[in-house]
Amino acid sequence: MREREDMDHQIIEAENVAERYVAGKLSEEEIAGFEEHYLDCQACIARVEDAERLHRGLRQVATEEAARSVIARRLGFLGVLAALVRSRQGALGLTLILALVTLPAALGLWQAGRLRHELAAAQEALQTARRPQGNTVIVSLSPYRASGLEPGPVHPVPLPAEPGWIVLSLEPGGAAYPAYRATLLAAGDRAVWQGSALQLDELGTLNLSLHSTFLSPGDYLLRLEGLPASGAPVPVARFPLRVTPAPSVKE
Amino acid sequence: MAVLARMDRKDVTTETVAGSPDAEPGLAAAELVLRIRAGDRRAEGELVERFSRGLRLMLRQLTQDPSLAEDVFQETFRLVVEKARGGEIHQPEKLAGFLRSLARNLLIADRRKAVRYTGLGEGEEAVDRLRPPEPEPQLDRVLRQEEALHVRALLAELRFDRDRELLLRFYLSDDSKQAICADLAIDPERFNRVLFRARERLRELWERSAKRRRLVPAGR
Repeated sequence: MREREDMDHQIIEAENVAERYVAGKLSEEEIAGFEEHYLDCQACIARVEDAERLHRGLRQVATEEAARSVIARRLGFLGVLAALVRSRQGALGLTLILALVTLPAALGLWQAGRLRHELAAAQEALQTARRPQGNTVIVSLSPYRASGLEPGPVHPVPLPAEPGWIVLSLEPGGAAYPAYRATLLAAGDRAVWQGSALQLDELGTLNLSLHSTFLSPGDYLLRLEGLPASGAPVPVARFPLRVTPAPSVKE
Repeated sequence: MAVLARMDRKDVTTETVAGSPDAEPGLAAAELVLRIRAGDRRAEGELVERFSRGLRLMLRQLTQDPSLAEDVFQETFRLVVEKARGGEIHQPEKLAGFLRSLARNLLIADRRKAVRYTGLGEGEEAVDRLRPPEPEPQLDRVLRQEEALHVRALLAELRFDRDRELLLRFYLSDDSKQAICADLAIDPERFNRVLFRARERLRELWERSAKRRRLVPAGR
């Protein structure tokens, strides 16, 4: 009896059964057989727990990498803006604008003051945005089991205490499409944002970054559609989101 | 897979003594069911102890909602004990299969109930009526981040890039085995072997690092 069990365990180990179970790569029949086995097998429970831990760790690493690359792209764009402001052309442009607007004296002075104020505010915002940002909110969204269109649990999206980026990392699952379209719907099915031509990264993830100032507390629905090479968009997944207010800072 | 198909056809032989180290799990479970039927309260506790770790793990895999998993966990054991007391478990040697089916059916019933109460309309979802998951406890979040740091360090230590890519794609992508094999130049017949080795190398690093961490006193 013990020999047969040892043999089963050798096969489970060699065929990566626990890992395939955690990665969702077993057939229904295989899942049934394996679950019935491990429910009463401490060795296989430990195998699945190990695989689960590794899977969780890899997923977290991948999500962090994705978020980092999105933020790096944003900072790159802001860097170009900052260089333009610092450059001679930028300064010249600013002077010309100021010269034009100061022609009608009173109005011009007022407008110039306002522009300088806006420029200072923009530069300050730029400096803030360029600083490394900690506590970035990263929300990992996976389709609910069985079907991405099945109503799954509501994903909480806490607004950060300071304005900043919120990264939504989506795993559409199922068949891959050349591009995707995401629509963010607020209460009453009001579309507040739509992005198309979204593409999966090498890990099969779609990454969206939204600035926290764009969202207000409340319920949203993120609808994801696949855009096939020809034909109508195909519904892929729906992710209910609940945006919650930033925690108040205690003195 | 032959091994998995075999697992639910365990033969119960009369020579095997339930409870002995070599006892067939099915027979040991059957003995528990018979003891519960006979009114042995200790056997009920033993049944819960025997299956709770596996059932929790299975429910964690099936649902990402810890409170729902806990509800189904409690309800499953309540019903199993009730049925065992009433002699309603007809194949006690297949107790694990019975537990599994019961837990899955309870989960499906809960989902059906949730869908019925959301009152779905044409192409819309009543978002606010869905049950929100409990926020992740801070300790869990910290542990998860630590786990990720650990995994990241181990991945960096892996000697072969192919191991790293294979593990990431196997666990995280929906790519088929064929696609992974084609991209990483792996003979499909050797896929399981290559994956097994990559996993073994990572496990070795994991164990070595765990040993190192045990040697370093906390706080340093």
